[in-house]
Amino acid sequence: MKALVDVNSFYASCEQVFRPDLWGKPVVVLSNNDGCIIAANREAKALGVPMWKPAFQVLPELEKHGVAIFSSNYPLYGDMSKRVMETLSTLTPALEVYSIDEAFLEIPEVAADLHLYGQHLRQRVHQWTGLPVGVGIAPTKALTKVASRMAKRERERNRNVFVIADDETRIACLKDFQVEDIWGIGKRIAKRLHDRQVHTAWDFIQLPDVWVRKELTVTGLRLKRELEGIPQLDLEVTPPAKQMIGTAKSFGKNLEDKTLIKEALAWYVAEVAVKLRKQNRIAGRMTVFLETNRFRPEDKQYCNQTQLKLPVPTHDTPALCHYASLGFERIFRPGYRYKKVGIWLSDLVVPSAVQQSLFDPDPQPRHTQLMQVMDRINTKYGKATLRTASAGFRREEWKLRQQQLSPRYTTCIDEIMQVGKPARGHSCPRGKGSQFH
Amino acid sequence: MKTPALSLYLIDDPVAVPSLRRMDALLPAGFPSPADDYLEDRIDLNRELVQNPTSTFLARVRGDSMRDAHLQDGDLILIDRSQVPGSGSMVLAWIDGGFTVKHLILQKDRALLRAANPDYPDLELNEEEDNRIWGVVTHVIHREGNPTPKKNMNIEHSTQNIQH
Repeated sequence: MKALVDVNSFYASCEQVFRPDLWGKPVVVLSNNDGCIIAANREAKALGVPMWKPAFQVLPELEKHGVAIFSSNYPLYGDMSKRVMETLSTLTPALEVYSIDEAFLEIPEVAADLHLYGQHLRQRVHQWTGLPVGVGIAPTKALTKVASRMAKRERERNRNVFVIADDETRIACLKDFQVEDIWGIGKRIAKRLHDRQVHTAWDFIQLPDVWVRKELTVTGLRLKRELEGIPQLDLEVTPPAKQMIGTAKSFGKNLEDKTLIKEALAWYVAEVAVKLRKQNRIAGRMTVFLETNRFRPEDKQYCNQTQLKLPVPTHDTPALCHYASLGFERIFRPGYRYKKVGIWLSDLVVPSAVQQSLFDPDPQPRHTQLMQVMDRINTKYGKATLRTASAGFRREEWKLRQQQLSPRYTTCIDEIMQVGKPARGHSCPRGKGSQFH
Repeated sequence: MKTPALSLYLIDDPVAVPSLRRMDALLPAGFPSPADDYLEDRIDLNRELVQNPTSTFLARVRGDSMRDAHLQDGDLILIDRSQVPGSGSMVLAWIDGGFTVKHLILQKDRALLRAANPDYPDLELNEEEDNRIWGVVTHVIHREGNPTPKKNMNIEHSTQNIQH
């Protein structure tokens, strides 16, 4: 048997763990740059908070209803996610981290009472991390997804654990489950299925195998088997190594100044290079891209990207900055108001796998050492304390707008919880202004 | 957000590196250290103080309100959420809109939160208020001398050991 565990309203719940004054209250989290609402907890949804709407349109209304508003605090969510996964791994022989707030896990055979096991998972995650989770238990991965949805429906009755262990329950659930909600069925396919009078998951598994195979390939057929209760998909316990890493963030405001955009790019390159070194990889290819603000139709629009094959794969910040700058020069056009710049690195390999070039004798050692020093200093004294001069001194002019940022309670010693003072005092020490206008 | 003072360093001539490596190789091997077979890891405070890293969180004491519990302004406290508090446990609790540290007192049919200062009355926890207890305080780290630690930004110091 397998289980799917997911954290209820993960981002909002992470904020609430450290703010007991917000327990049971509506909470929303804004996207990077505070552009729109990307997460809302149950209480906020009950107020009818519209997701994905531009934040400035809805914030005044939200504030009137006393909804707590947060900028997205990814260092916090990332660490809390890790804690959830670590906690779960104490109760299962095999865990697949499926996303930041979801994991599939193998239920140990000794767990005779599945319901009790699910409750145990919930209880332990809540005790160790403070986060509420839902649990769906079933014989196959696709069915755990169904069970997990059922658990959410049961949330009103405070169940949060749903088990599909016998055919009777399975069939009842599938009959009550819309075909577009099936794991892996996209909108387009769902529409085709509806056209064929296939509306529920139960209808879907009544389709002949031959048809499913022909129309939805072998993947669709596997899905059908899974919904029939026959396991087809194993847990992916070791995540496949990343083939690409990169970063692209919107500026706090639209920028025209070329050198300023270049500084931002150098800054992002440095961040990606740190990730690269942490994963012990070097990159052989780089993509640089640049775009204006699509949401301002009154502005002239431009976006472009360029790819560079690096002469020698590297993880060296100055070298990567150099190539990023070359790429940038190729695509930059003056006279536009840019919103975003970014880079992607691909062709990632382990350093030892690289053949040395005859004419470029071992450029690695000195830079490897330099990068180690840089990473050590930056770990100790904070991100980008030591950086290349190309990243500049004017970050305030382009960095993300995050006015409602909560403290990084678990990853930064200067921002940990405070004891002996009312919560107000530490509600927002990171941004200068905490009010939206 | 404070911006630390920025320092720029010139990286010395990198040509020195390969020659240094070559010299390394020429160094004659001496006698093996008799301690080699007995090498042990240094004591790791993380391991000593943090039994369960997954469920351990840090908090900083602010103000003098918990002086009677021997907690001073600036002290660091370690909180383990996975530990089950017993009678007498020091706990981090949420009271009157803020976090505070109290002792949990379990009696036959009730649970109390008790301040170290006898002037404060006990606070009885009813069943639904269990969640007032955020976690169990396992350690208090007090910095001697300087009550509010400041971040030491002296980078030169840390680069001393770095070879060029």
